[in-house]
Amino acid sequence: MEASDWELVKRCKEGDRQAFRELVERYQRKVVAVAYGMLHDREDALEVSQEAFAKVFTSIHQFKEEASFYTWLYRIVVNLAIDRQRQKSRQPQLEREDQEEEESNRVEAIPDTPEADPYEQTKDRELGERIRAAIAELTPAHKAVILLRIVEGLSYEEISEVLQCSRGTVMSRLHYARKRLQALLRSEL
Amino acid sequence: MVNCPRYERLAALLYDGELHGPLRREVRAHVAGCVACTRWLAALDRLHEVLLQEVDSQIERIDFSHFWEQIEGKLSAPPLPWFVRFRLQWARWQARQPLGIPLGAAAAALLLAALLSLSYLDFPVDSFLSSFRPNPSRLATYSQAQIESLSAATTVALWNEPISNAPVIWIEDDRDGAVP
Repeated sequence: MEASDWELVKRCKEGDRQAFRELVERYQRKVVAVAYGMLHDREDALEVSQEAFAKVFTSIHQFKEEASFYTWLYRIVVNLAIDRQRQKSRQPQLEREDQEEEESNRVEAIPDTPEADPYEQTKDRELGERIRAAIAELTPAHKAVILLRIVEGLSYEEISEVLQCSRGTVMSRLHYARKRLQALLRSEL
Repeated sequence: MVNCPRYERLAALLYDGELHGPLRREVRAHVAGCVACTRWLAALDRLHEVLLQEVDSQIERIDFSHFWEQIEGKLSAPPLPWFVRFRLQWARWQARQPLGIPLGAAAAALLLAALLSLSYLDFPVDSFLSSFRPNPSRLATYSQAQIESLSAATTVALWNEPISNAPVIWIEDDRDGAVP
């Protein structure tokens, strides 16, 4: 039977790295998805996620059992992603453009599956780009709320725990983010 | 798109499963007969679908086979030297407070300019600054008191005032409030 988060956290607090590995494997995709949604860059998302897990392990003794493990984990990754985004926005423009170009080359280099329709692929890629651009228009707080709701399926209560704000704030941020995305992606929706 | 301002937010709450009881029934009944709300919910559905698709397609391309090893590497890495940690902390602080340094520098420059101009105008800066220091004579007026009686409800505290180096006795009576 699979151990619960609570049991694994307890074992982590006793220094059990295998238990921590189980937690990492359980949440790695979800954490990277949130980080990717916030940063729109796979390398940055991976780095921030690994940093978040390392921080979780080193500060596991500070974790109180009354909260759920994953809300605590998401809080760490969202905060680190916001920090990373701020650092990046302070980088010189040329350096950023170089990185973006490198990233787009990496995307192009991924081999396509033989059965995939090139027209569909182009359409999907264009849609993906439009979605990324639309999300990039949102503020970090709005991005976080929409990703935690849509990608992670968290309830308003859980989102308010992650972002340490009221349920009412979650409601209004989510509504604003949805309306904004709907306006930006009007042709797709 | 025509919208339904009264029910738009409530319809989104219904969509997210955050409504309960009679309000849930009311909103469901409204949405069933409202074209604007039905369209709004369909748009939400499509938005969720495309967003999930985009994030999933990006995550699928990520190779997680070395993810744990890289975390383990971070955990077992020797601690960074103090100057590197300081530089990282400094970079983090700067990222969080983009206006912190310019504002701090501006405030310090203003304060310096004010002090320089005051001394240039023969303003008695020393006596002005000394007015902020505690006046020992003011303490002396409160340094004497007489304790008439003490009861079980009275608390007596004794400490040494660090500025004037004078002993202070504080008597607090729970019934009548503080009496110095």
